[in-house]
Amino acid sequence: MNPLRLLIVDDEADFVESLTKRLRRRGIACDGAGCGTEALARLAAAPYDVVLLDMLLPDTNGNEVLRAIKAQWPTTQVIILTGHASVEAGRESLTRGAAEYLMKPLEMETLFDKLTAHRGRPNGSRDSKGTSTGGRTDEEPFFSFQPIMEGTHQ
Amino acid sequence: MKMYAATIPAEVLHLKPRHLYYARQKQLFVLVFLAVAVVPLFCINWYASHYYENSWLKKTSAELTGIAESRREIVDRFLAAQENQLAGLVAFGSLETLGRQKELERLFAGFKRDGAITDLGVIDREGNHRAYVGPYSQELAGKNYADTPWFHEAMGSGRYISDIFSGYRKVPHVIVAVADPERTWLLRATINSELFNALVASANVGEGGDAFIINTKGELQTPSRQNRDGLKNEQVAKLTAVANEDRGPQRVGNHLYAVTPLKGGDWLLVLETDLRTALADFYQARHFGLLLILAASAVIFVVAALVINSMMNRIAKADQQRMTLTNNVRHVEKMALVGRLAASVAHEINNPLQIITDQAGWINELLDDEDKERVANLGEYRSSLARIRAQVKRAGAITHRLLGFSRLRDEEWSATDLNRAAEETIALLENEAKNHHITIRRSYAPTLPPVRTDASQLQQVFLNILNNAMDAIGQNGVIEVVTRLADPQVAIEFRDNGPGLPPAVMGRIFDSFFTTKQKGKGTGLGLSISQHIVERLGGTIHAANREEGGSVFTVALPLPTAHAQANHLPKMLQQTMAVGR
Repeated sequence: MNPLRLLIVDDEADFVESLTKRLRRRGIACDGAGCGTEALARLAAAPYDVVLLDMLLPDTNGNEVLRAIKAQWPTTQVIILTGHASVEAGRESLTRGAAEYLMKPLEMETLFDKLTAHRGRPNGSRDSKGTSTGGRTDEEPFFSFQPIMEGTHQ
Repeated sequence: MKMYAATIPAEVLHLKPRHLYYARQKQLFVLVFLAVAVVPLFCINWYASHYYENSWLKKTSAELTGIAESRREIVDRFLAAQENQLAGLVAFGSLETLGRQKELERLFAGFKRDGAITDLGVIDREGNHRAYVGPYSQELAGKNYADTPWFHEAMGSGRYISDIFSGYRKVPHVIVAVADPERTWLLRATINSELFNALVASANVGEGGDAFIINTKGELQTPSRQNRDGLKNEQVAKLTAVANEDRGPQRVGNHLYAVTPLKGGDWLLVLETDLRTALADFYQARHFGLLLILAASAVIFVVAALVINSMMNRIAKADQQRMTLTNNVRHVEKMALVGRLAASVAHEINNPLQIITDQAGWINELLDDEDKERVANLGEYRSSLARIRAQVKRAGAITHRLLGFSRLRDEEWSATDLNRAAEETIALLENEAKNHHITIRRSYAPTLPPVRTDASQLQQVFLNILNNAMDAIGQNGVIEVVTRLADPQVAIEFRDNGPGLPPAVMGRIFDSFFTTKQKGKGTGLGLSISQHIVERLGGTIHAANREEGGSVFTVALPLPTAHAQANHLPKMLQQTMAVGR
């Protein structure tokens, strides 16, 4: 199996760096992006299976990036991981097609489980680029609505 | 549903001054109501009373005038009759014939039958009493009247009627004298005073009235019914004025006087009637009317007081509701601000926490690469890193809680006294409850075994339920908090006497974002969170309507039996504890 390709979008360089190092050890191909523009540029350059997206970015907010990703690369899974969580933003993200809405701080084991879980999804294939106008956009994105009020992670 | 206990101090609500204000308004309204209703009644009564009093007075005056006229006529005619009778005798007789005792006696016997005259005397021009018939012959026989004023007056004018006087016989009487045209002699008669008095006394002036004749000196010519001795000069002057002005009867105080001149103005016939007697019927009617109005006023007062009281109570209630609403809105705004502050702090902390735990995790992973033999304190490193990660988890739990994403922390489980937990929660709300006139009654089971639970989370649940109960009641009500042992559980009930839960709502009250409250007042999370908490604590929560009205929320928690401790660790808790491992 090809390694999972992950794009980490977060303006905290320390976070991106440590997470990249740790995930690479676990066989995930990681890249980092410090802002929304950079993230979209990287996505345009190479396909990713999963995007780990922060909500508060220097140039825009996570939901805007999420919308852009889902519009162009509908099969790319987006997992929100943020310290700036709120019920409203969470609902919006999930409505816009985010696969998960997770809160910092999060243990590596949990995150790894989430990432690999989404890699296994049937629509997680990498040929999404350039076919955004195709029938795949009609497909139901993987949607894990988990009321965050419960505060539990399965 | 409010997430926080709202404790609004009484000073903020200005309850006391408002109450005074309403009391003053009530008084004012009652006074105005009373004035508007009662003043016209009194005006009408006053007008009617005066109108009828005047008409009664006019009627009484007319009657009195009539009586006075008729009496005057009777008295005048009587006196004229006596005078004319004497004039007739004088015309047909002479000093020679009537001067003889025998002749006079014969004459007197002839006309004394009508009883108007009690004696008869003949006096010559020198004043000698030539003959006399009557009861006083002993005293009067042979007397000389030449020095008496009346003799001169009678001889001067030819005819004379005296005032009442005592004369020689020392008994009050009235005499009539007629002289012959040549003034050679005169005939004198004494009027029967009883008969004369009766003419006046028989005037019908009612009880408390009087009828008498006075002369210009104020001496009574006929006896007074009221036993007057006479009148003073100024009284006579007034009566004379009344008689002369001819304005009809005059009212003085409670009496009405009719005065008419007699005997060419020498005498005054005075009729006095007591208005209290004459107008007795009227006064009685007026008295009754006044009582009726007072009774009506009392009824109006009571009705006004009741109506205005109820009206003002409604206004006060509406005001208070509006005030409470305003305060609630302010409170919600304040809490929202506090929430935002807390959230922004929590947000800022989450990022560093993530980096700390990642760095610790990275070190842990790198340790795997080291030669185990060469790392002397490997165990210490591992345990230290585990503690760093545990502390990050702990800090994360705190920030998540601040953001409203509460997560159960197992270390907070402790033996908890349900009664104490309830009491501490109620203490938070007692002030607010008081402001809304809500009484919180406790009915605690005296010996309740402690439950192993998270007291602060449980109190959050109690707070939510109590807040909901208070919101449901609004104003004036009772919340009953009951704890009881229901082995193997302990239960706490929150009973309120609010409107209860509509059937349509009953099934959805524990849903997230479901609220029946006004927009901005409730998030729809309170009961949802409460249910999550209680279930995590291994308990149950359910709502029901009470038969006597209102709703009851029951929270039941398991008792820590040996069995329960081993196997009853709640499923949700197990899940939670598994997180992030």
